[in-house]
Amino acid sequence: MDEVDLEIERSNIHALVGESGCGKSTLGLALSRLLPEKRVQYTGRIVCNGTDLLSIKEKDIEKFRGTQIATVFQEPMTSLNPVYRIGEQMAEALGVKNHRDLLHNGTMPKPNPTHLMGVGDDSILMRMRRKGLYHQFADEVHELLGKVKIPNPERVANMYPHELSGGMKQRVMIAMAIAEKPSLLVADEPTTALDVTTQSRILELIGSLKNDYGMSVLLIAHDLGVVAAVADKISVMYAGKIVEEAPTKELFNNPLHPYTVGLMGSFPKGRKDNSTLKTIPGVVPQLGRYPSGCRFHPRCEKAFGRCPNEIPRLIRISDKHKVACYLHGG
Amino acid sequence: MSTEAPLIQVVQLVKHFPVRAGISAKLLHKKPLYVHAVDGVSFDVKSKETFAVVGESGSGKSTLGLTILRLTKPTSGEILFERQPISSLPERQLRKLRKDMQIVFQDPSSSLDPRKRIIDSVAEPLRAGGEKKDRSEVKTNVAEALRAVGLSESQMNQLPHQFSGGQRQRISIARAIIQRPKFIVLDEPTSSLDASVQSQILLLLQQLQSEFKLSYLLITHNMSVARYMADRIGVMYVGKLVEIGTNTDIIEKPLHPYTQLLLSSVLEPSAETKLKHGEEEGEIPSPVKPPEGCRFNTRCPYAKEKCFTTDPELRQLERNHFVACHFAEEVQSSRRNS
Repeated sequence: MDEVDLEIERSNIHALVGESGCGKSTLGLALSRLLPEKRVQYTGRIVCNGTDLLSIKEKDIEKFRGTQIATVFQEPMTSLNPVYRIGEQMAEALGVKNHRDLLHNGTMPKPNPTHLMGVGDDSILMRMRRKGLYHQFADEVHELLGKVKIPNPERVANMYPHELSGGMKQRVMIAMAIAEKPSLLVADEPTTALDVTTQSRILELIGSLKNDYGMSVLLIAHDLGVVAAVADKISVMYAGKIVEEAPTKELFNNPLHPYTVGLMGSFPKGRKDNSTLKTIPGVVPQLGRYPSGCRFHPRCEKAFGRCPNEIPRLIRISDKHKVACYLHGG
Repeated sequence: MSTEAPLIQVVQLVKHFPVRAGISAKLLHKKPLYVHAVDGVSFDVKSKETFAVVGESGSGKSTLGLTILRLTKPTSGEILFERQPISSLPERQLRKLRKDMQIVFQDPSSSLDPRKRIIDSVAEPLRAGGEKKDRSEVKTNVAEALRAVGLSESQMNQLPHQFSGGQRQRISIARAIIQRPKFIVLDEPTSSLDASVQSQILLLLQQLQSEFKLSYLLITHNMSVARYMADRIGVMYVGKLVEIGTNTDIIEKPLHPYTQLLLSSVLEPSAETKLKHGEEEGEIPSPVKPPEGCRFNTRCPYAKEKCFTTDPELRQLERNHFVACHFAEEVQSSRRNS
């Protein structure tokens, strides 16, 4: 990921689209500084509600995760612990929050790491602790499950993850993410592992939660159709850079970057006998082995003299439309 | 529609998998449970045709593909390959037929042996077919197959990890076509690929079909892929085909409420795309205990009393259009009015 500028407006759904390996998930993780700090170099700033998250010490960043920025990942199955009941897991998250609040107010000494870090996770003591937490937070858990439109929250809270369908699990993950009313929800491919019918319902849920809470959503997806349905604004990413950015309507009616045009053309719209499927030749370059100049130029049909040598910048070409391509200024 | 005999005929095919019983169930002599993966499916695939099977995950469409190729033995029913019944053919005789029927799986990184060179993976069907060929002959065959899928023969000594996902899928397609089969089951061939690569593979499959006169059984959950590729489409739900018709029938005049639900969930990349606000919140029921009556009754907005008692048979409504719904006519007219 390289020199990415992204502005997410309040209570908006901002979509980040691109093929696998273009760095969109890395960006999602970087926003809440979830990347391994020792191996990653950040330059630039991440400003959330006026605070630069990169200037905060690593141990204090905890305060921001969940409260300011929360994340929902692609595969709900791997995000949930299979051996604990839904209610217990959710209560644990709420417990951490409670703990943090007390710590923040200075009414509690240093947190006991076993509670937060999951040390001795499967000991009998931890099991009992989780049960206790569930009793303590049962009402909140049920309320949250109700908010993500899970029917019969009391019953679901007592189930194990394997008893739930993929869509239900994703709803549970979303419930945990919105527990502290974050100002930004990062949803990283939230519907990719789900069936098409479930996909629409989850997108609908994210849209309605955005309205209820006034939160912003960064929706990361590889599927232009998914973002077309819900996003207010779309950034298209290729090989670690944002190549085009525009409000949803504008982007689909007037795509400018050859990569965006290619992505839209490669969606099978008609039938084989009455339409032609377009393709983008070649493949996404491997991480770190990016071509010189414009990173898309080896796959671009319209590439010319400047493209392999100079790097186009993302420039504003109209009121709301930004693009990084020499065909359009640059 | 031609009158020649279909290449593949599937007649009342059933595949049940036993559920492993827990110790308490065994001690109590409970009735053993079965996963009704495929539950009485009949259709045919004509020569040079693409027949798409669409449905959500858990509908049994992959099991259907495996069973038709006899990669798993059907519980009952019959599969006719060029009029020859193969459902109870012994393995030995089946082997001769294997070269005419092949499969391409969803995830090429798990269907290719990471330690085998491409030449060995692609030549595998030749060896399994029992044909004795010397090394140079194998090499020319593999080179031909690789060229046909748009790879270069100079890459045949490389290992799978040296290729991208799209290229790996090309390799598995090369392996499927090396024996010049007549019929290929494509099990979600593009689901693990990126959008730009998906269209490359779809075009390749289309080109190979006309070049080698192939018939495809395309298994997919993606309605737009089915619409693009298929001549006819069968819609599968919890082990049963609920609607069969030509591409136009299914896409433009869907009769079964489930087909309509699937179609309304397609999100196209365009400025006009909106989420359809569905009333139905349900999800696909467990194939261990499919609902009584029509299996879609738990999610169907039109369900009436009859749907909870009687399982609808697949019946013909138009020339090539079959549907398993008691109230298909009413569903269709109410849809037109809305």
